[in-house]
This record gives sequence, structure tokens and C-alpha cells, in this order.
Amino acid sequence: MSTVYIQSNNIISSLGFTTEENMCAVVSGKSGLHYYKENTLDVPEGFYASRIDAEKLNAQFALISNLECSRFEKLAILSVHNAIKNSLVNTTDSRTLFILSTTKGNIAFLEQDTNNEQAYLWHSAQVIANYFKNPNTPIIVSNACISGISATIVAKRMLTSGNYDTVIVVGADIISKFIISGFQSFKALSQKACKPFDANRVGLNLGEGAATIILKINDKGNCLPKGTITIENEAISNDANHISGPSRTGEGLFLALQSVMKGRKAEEIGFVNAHGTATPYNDEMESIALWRMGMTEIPVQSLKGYFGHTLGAAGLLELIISAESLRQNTIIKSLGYETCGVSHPLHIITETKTKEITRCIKMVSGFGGCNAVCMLKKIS
Amino acid sequence: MNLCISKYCSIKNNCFSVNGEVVFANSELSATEFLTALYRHEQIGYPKFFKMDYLAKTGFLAADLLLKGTAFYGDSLKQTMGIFLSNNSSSLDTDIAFQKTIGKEYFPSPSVFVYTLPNIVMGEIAIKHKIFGENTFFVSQEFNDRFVRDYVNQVFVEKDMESAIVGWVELFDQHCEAFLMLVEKEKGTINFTQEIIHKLYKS
Repeated sequence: MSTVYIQSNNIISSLGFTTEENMCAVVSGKSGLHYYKENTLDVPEGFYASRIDAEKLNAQFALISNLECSRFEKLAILSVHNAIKNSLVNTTDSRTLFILSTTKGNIAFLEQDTNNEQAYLWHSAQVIANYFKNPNTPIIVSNACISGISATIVAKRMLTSGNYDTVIVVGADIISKFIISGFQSFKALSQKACKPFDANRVGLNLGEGAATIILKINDKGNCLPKGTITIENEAISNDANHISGPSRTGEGLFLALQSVMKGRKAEEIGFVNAHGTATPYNDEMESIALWRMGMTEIPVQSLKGYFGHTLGAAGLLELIISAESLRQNTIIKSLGYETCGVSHPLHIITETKTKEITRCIKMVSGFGGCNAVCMLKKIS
Repeated sequence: MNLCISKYCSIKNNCFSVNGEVVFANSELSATEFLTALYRHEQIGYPKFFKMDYLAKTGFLAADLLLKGTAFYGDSLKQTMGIFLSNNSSSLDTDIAFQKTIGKEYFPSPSVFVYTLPNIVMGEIAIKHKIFGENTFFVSQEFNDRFVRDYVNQVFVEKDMESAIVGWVELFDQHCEAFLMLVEKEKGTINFTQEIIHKLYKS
């Protein structure tokens, strides 16, 4: 029986450029969300978001390279660089694979020129893989908001198939006029800090981020060190219901949860890291799926109040915080929650505290009716 | 476990073929006009088709005609069927259309924005045919037959999967190309190997 485990990771967000910085900020209850007034990024309306400081990013990138590349590519490269820094990963090995998770990549390039090769996702993936001198064609997963978890699942399968020893999964998305105006047109954005699962939630906040996990396989029955986080089970399912609205029965998420929870009791799960975008429909749908699973007593949190919705990075970024929570036996509070606002009340975590935990669940849902669930387990 | 390609179809150069045989062709139309002509020719009768962007229309049509005449056609619930698609330009065709709505004249439209994600095409296919299984969208400069074979094979090994719609759905600036395979366990005479996938895609 082989085991796929997280060897190393990194998060870059408005809260910091390392996983440690981000974890410290989250544990102390700090949010990276701020208000940006009208005409920021040439968007007529103001918006609330979590953005990475451009000067800090350029300064950090200049310390490692003088490569001319886009902001999106810089973020991804810097995140991978930080993740591999303390690992023994050889990125030039043909048994190392790169997977990029993103929804929009360099889409902001369309503002200047609609005929620009840099707007192609494979262009960015190749820039990233070339930087690390990787000989394989990088894999790109673009599955709306579940991209990060989809990419993690793809990575696990590629390791299990025996073709690779190491898979580096990097997820990133940046905030542009394109993305903000689209979500504004959907009336999906909140003008204040978002309030996942709360009765007064009105919408989401967007966030910028890059996150990297390095996955390895243990197929020789070796003992992994205590505290190692493994990807124990995973599933992807479609609602087959609507392209932009979640299922009223939470069908796809329920099916994915059912698959991942097979043979497990609800009480074995230390906490659920929900998608929790704070749109009225998403959070309601998640509560229905958890209720159908008999999991309403399990502590639940959304991290959107800290990072906003980081799109193609979200699944990875939140999976890393979940893995760190497991490792540190810390259950993180859901920011912005006061009063229950879903029809099946959940046990939303309102205070960050320590607790002995072994397993947790990360769930995500996105446009196109897609849902993904991942179960992490700590080696004890 | 032996995976087989029980049926395949393609839309390329204004020509629609099933298992290598031309079913409908019209070289006088633009690529996107051809999609509507194909929809009418096949009498699909699904008004939502007209709301879709061109990428979704391409994938929707190819999938509908792939499943037509098989046990998978229609709205019986399919929890053990997956969808694995890939393309070159993601949703760039619609991305450019959306970008044009947020320039000097600013009127972003939610009905355009929703199609600025390549996986929406899989959502449209899943809705029509009630497919609840795993669905993943990949982007690659060229059709990566080796990866597709490896990945789909691995999903069948690990998951409770009986069938899958697998292939390439590309649409950009009047260049339209779809190649879909119906992959099943032990059903059919064409093996799901890299060489065969490559040959069928190129033919």
C-alpha cells in the first residue's frame, strides 16, 4: 500500500511569503483583506480584497533571479523556490513533474493586446518549468475554483501510477480588472470583509496568492516521520445541475464527501476546512451536503476571511493551512462569523484553540458544478 | 484491467465523423456556423445550446453525438462516468469577448463571464447527460496522449469508474477541433493505448 505525503510547501499571500508567516498571521486572527477605492486597477467600483504588495514581490523575486517574466509567473516561481529551498528535491530529474493550477494566469495581458501568446496558460507553465530546468511537459489543471484540489489529486495519481517520484504542484492567480469586473457583474462581491456561513453574508472577497506543495510517494513501506501529513483519500464529483449556481441538494459535494468518508465515522474528522466563499448559495449548499453526511457536529471553518478567495491558489493554500493545523494540533477560527445563516446549522469554529487531531477534510466547489474533497491524515 | 475505446468522434475542418466515418460536412460555413448547422442536422432539441459560448457548443455537440445510440444517452443518473478534457487555449476565445466589454465602454456581462472558464463545457455535458463522476480539465499546447492515457487509466484503477468521455475540445478564433472517445472497461475492440489514441486523434 503506497502513501502520498506532503514533503514541503509554501504560501505567498498578503499575509506573508512563507507558510510560517501565513500560519502565524492566521493563528493570531489577522486578516489580509483591505478596501480598495474606486478606480483601483481601473475598476470603476471600489472592492474589498487581499492583495500582494507589488514592491515586496519584486524585491523578493530580485533576490533569486533577474528573469523577465510576468507578475503571475514571478509569484509562482517564488512560491516553488521557497517550497524547495529546504527540501532535497531535484527539479531537473525526469522523475519530477510540475503541475500548475490556475484559472486565469496572465489574463491581464489582454488589456494591452488581445493577440498575446503570454495569455496562454501553457506559456506560463513552461516559463515556470524552464526556470527550474525540469525536462517534462508541465501539466496544467484549470477547473475553476476547485483547480488547486484537482491538481493535488492529479499529482497523487501520477505518483501512484509509478511514473514519478516527486510532483511539484503550484497554484496561483492574481487580481485583475478582468476578474473583479466579472465577479462584480455576478453581484458576487461583498463591499465589506466577507462573513462565511453568517446570517448577514452578502458575498465574497477576491484574494491574490500562490501556494506550492511538494508531494512524494512512500511505496516501499518505510516508516514516515511522526507528524508527516499524508493525502489519505480524495474525490471529485459534478452536480450535473447548473453551470453557475450550486446544487440545491449539494449533490456533487455530497457524493464526493461520501466517497472520501467511506468506512470512516464523522467523529474521526478533527475539522472540515470548507470552501465558505460567503456567497449566500455556496455556504448554504455546503451546509446541506454536510448535513446529509451527518457531519454537522464536526468543527468547520472557512479561511476566506483571512485570504479572500484566491481562485486557482485557493485549494492549495487552504490545504496547506489545514495540513499545518493538523501538524500543530490547532483548530483555526472562521473569521467574520457571528450568527448562523444556513438552514442546517454547522459547528463553526469561533475561537482558535489547540486540540489533538489526526484527520481533517478540505472541500471546494466551483463554477461548472464541480466539487472536490480531500482527506488529510497525520502520521502518529 | 483493460480499457477500451468503444466509440470515438471528431469535429474538424467543418466535418463531423463518428468512428472515422464522415457523418456531416459543410465547407461553406464558418467554423462556428458549422456548429449550429450540425446541431440542426442532428435534431438535438436542447434550447440551452444557443446560450453557450463556442467552446461549450463544440464540446457539448461532440459529447452528445458520442453518446447518441449508446446506453449512456439521456438523463439516467451516471455516477460512475467521468469527463476528462483538454485543450490549447483554455477559454481564451470568450476571455477576449469579455475583455472587450470592460474597455472604454464598461458593461461586463455575467452571462459572458461564466464562460471564461474552460471546465464549463464539462458542466454543460454533465447537466445534459446527468454525469456525476469525476471531471477534470487540462490545458496543454498540444494533445498530450501519453498523459491522457496515464491519467485516465489511473482513475479507473483507483476509483469506482465504469466509463469516461475523454479527449480534446479546442475553439479559438474560428478554429474548431474536437476529438472525443468513449472509454469503457473491457468493452470494445480498440485498446486505450497511447499509440491508438495518437493515431485516432491524428486521423
